[in-house]
Amino acid sequence: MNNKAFKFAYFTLLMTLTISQGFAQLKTGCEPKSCGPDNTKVAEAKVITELRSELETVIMSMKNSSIFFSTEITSFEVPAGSSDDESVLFIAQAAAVVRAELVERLPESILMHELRHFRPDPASSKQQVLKNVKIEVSLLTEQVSKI
Amino acid sequence: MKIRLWTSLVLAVTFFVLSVSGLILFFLPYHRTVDAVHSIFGLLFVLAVLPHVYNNCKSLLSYFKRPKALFVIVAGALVLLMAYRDLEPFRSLMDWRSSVKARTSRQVEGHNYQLYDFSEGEAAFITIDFVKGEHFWNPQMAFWIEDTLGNYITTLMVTNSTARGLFYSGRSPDNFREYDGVKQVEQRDIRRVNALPHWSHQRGVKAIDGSYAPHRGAPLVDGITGATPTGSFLFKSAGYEALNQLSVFVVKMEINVAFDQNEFFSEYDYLEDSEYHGGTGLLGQPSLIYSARVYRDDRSRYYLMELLGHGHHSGKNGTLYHDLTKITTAAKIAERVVVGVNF
Repeated sequence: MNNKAFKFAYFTLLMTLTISQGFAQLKTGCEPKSCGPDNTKVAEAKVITELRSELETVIMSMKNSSIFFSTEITSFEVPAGSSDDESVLFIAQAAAVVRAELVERLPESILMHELRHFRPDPASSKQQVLKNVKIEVSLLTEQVSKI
Repeated sequence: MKIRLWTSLVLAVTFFVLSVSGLILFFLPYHRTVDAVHSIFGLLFVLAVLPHVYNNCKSLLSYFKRPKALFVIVAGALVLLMAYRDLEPFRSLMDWRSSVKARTSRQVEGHNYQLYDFSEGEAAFITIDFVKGEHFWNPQMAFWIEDTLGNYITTLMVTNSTARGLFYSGRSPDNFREYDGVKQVEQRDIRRVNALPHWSHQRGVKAIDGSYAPHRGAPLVDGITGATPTGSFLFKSAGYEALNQLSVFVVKMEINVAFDQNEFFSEYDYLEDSEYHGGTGLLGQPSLIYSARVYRDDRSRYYLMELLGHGHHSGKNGTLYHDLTKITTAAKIAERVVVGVNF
């Protein structure tokens, strides 16, 4: 074996051993308290994203309608919160404002009775808050389809 | 000329990386990162060979016209055939490699590789080699056997909490890590029916509360129950008469981690489902079901379990849902699961 071939073989063996040791020290998975079911949810819950999109469609329909609505409402964009809880709160507040605007501006002939008298159920959990908002946004969607 | 230069450099670099990663794969326990490096550089090597062959097309063709080419082709085919049929000396070489790997595996993971040995000297048993994945955390799990028509035959192993139908109360998405660390056993036990719904429905034993999850009043017998694994493990089943009567059967695994919410299985989903949100539920992604079809007389004797689908999110039924588009991190609870048979 000439000198070059020997050097190449030696270098390859050395690198193999070095890298092997490095990989051998790695462990599959991760240690308790540093992983587990954490960071499993990396984005907003889809159900909230869809609800916001539905409410924004309602606002867009109001903007495009022949009835005059406050520009503060029609130019409003429902922001995403820093957490799902905050997002639901923003959507709930925006839905309440939109409902109030519709009730105030729409003529009696097209204003839905359910919307005029909508009162959210008392909510004792986050899930109930979302359920109320879903019902409210659904009523808003139905209402704007009639204008 | 430039192409020749680039091709040679790429071939040299990829050859070096392939050699190193190949040796690591050959001697050390499987590691996904090494496998990824080897596969990607293998692809690069193949791509770099194409212009190399193109550049040396004439020479190569002339080589193949010589009598020695026939010898090389025949020898190559012979080696391929012997390796494929697991003939000597390749069989001995692979056996030796396996023993080296096994020794290395014990050295590397000896302190965190658990062993569940229910075989008790039986001649016929099943082994399951489970390597934990990135999102492994104290999962509930069950292994069982079905025939090829999907009929339940027997449970090989199930984790204690599911077998007893009891879970410690007080764990929440905010405290489960600390809680699991100290195991506050004095707290009230709760029943949880959504952990392994596919297994419990396949098993088909109805508890007194109407669900199919084992109840504390009728827990599963010892010998098939084991502590919740805290890491990778090797499981050796008890011997079963049924294994001697089936030429083909299916080994299934259902696994579930609590509190692994994602964008589709969050605390704002399934609002009407009380099991999912409270009481017995620990919301998150549903259980996952894996399977491997095992041929009793197959000489290869090792089968990689494949992900089939998921169970119901709150355990209301035993349906196997094949749509995995809403499953994210749960698919990384297990890195790989290999079934072996010892008959």
